[in-house]
Amino acid sequence: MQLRNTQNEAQAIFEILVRENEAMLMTYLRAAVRNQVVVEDLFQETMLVAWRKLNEYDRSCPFGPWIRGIAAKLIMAHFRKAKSDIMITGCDTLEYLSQQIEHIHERSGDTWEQKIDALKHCIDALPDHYQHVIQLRYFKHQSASKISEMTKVSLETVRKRLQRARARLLDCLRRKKVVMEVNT
Amino acid sequence: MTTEPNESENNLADRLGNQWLDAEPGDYEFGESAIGVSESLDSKQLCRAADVQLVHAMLMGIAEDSKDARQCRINKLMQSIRADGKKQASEKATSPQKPRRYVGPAIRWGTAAMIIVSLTILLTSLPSNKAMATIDQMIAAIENAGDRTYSIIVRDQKTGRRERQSGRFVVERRNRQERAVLDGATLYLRGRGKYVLYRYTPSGKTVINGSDGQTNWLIRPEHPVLVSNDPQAFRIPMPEGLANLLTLDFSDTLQQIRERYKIKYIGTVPVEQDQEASWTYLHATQQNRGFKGPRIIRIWAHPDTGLLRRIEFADIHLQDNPEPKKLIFDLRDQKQLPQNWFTHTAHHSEDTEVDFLPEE
Repeated sequence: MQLRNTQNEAQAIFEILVRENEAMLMTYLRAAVRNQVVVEDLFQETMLVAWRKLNEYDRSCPFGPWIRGIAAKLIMAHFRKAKSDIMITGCDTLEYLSQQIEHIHERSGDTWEQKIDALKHCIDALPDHYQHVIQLRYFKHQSASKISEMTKVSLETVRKRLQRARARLLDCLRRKKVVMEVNT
Repeated sequence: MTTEPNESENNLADRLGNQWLDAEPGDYEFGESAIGVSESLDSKQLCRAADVQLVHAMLMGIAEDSKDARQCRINKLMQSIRADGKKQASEKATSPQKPRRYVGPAIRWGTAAMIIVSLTILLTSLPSNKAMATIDQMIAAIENAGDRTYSIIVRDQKTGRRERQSGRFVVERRNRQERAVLDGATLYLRGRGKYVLYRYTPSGKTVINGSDGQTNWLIRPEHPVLVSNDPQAFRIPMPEGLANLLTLDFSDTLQQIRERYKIKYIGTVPVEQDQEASWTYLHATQQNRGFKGPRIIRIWAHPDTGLLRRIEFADIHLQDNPEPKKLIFDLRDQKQLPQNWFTHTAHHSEDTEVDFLPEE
């Protein structure tokens, strides 16, 4: 009975780690994988593998890169299996994304949300027509073609607006030093 | 319009990221077109495309991850972990087993306790301690270090282009008094406080600063050699933001990094082209925004000895040039230098005039 209690305690501590890293890991997975169902599955799988391999973890290294390393292997395995899902930027980019996320993780703030709080200010600073497509695409969960129908604007224009809105958000996040400049 | 310098490159990268993000189920043509674009991009453009995907991921996070959704995700995981534990236990119970050795309660308790201790240590995060220990080891290593030769490289932060290779550099300098520059310079070090720095002007003339730990000296073309016992004499003009931080033997530099930067131990990694050896890699981010120094410093050191292999200062600004640069000191070799190498007499002919400046 005592042993079972100890195991429960270990699980409870691991749950704290999961809570601390959940938003970070989801961001990493969403940046690499388009299909949200697959993202959710990969999150579960990554954390489960981390739990099983916890005794292999080198405690002198940060937890974030370790868990993203596990996720990266699972992402690559997914793309090898699911031919219909497309990975456009290659495995080197997974390492690059991991560095960008580590950079965000190092920002001040207790939670991931606080660390990327600047994004909300960047959205507020967008011109109205860009803000509108971002609202519809992300906060109302509409596809580009649905937005085109709703706004009576051509599909090509909607896609262009989304592209420019994201580019502006990226510029804004770089200016605010949330995202590192590329300097390869 | 974006603020990036090369918009057409960015457009291509953005198009790729956005094609991928906005493609809809069954939109195979769109996906294939994205792959086509992807193959034509260089690594910098691919990084830009990845940045766009990162923005998308952050937007998804703030739009979709309600408190309930996150709780639900974590609950599902913890259920799986508990089920996984039970499954493993039942597999053990049903599979044919070797005769079990008696494991006393103390050992079982000890094992379980070790898991808890591991996790607790994990939560209190040792990496920063490891980073500090590495910095301390590096400072200690300098005291007893032998001769080291470092190459100094200045690269444009955005394009990665060397300062000396830029045509603009030559044109800008042509009609001015020639100034020796840091890019392409060589720094020789022995122990703590002894250094020789060879810098070159755009036309190839050599300017040498040095110190034997007590006497500082400066050798310029067509000038007498200047020698002084003043420790502040002949200070090398450093880029803005590094004047308070960079000392040529690195010991004070590392000490200041230790005090003023948040240092993370990342692991052991190779350094650029040198893929054979792995080095301890530290990532330092400025903690005190009031301090005038680079925001990010990257450091590579020998995992056993703490020898500084490479140090990179990001976002620095050189005189007369507004573009951010990266200043890199890269260990070239550890050959033993002549005994008198850190005295000025080793670097000029015997008949050169030498002026000893009085201490102020």
